Amino acid sequence: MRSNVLIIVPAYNEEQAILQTVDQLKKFNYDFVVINDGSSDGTGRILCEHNVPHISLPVNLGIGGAVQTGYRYAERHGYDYAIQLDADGQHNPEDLRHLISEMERLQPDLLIGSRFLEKTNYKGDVSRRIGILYFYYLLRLIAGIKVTDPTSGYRIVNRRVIEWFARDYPVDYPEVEVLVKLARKGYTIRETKVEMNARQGGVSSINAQKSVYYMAKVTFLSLIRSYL
Amino acid sequence: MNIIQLIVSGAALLLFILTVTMTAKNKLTDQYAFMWLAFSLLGVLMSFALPSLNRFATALGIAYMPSLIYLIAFLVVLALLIYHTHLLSKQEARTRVLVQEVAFLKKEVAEMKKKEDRGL
Repeated sequence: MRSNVLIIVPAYNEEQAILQTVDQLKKFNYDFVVINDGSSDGTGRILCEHNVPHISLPVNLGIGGAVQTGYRYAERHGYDYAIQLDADGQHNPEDLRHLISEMERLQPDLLIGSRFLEKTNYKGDVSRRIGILYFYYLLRLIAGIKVTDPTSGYRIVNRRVIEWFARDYPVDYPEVEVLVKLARKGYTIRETKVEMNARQGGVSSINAQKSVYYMAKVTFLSLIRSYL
Repeated sequence: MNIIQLIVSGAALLLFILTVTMTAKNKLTDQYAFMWLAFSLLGVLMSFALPSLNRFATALGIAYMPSLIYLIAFLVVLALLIYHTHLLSKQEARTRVLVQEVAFLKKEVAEMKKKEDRGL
């Protein structure tokens, strides 16, 4: 029987980690789809050879475009919930059941898997934590919500949000911006504790220069799109 | 008509001819062809109006008339840049949708092929 939950796994040059992530996902009885975002390494070949359900974008759209492809797929196929899960192994699939049960219990529009709601084994570097703290206060200020882990990509949304994201999703660094948009439109956002691992392969897309751009861009766009 | 007026009207005329040629060869779509035709004609008109621009500049408090021309040119180029950035953003959004649609179709075709292979 088809599940009512779709797990969206955006992947860009993740040949080292993708199979391990997929194997872990297969243990659960949920539908999933890998969005191969125009990878230039062997990700596409691996997905084909191992018969992994996937959508291959002919060119690289960036994280926003890739994740939105997943939401559009979820919308077209009538899924009630969609979960984003990173292909690099940082998100722990063992938390999927917990995320779904909390979503059904609390009934928010969006539920974030947080590393900081309670004490977890997560050890992020100082600069990353400063960035997260910055976005925490930004969200409090402009959206009036308290989110301990605003940059977490491990999140589950309901049908209403799936339909929104299928129409409108930021191109890059979407995590914080969508929270501002949803909160200001009156959507409910909640958090629940999850564990996160160190990445199993590939490199983070955010370096020092990019993180400054990330913070400036998200602040600027969130302010403008919230108040105008 | 003095020399500078001749140069300006000549340049505007060249722009007009270039626009007409590109439009005829379908290298410019209607919307942009019309815009550049309007610009080139405006250039010709400006060449005739150059002497009166002196009075206009004085009325605006600009002592040196060419500064007024630079100001007008700068504002026009700025407006054009914003317009083209807007178009670029629109095209990017459309391309994104197209890429996603192509990916969906590729997936559907692959699934159909698999089903067909199993049936054979």
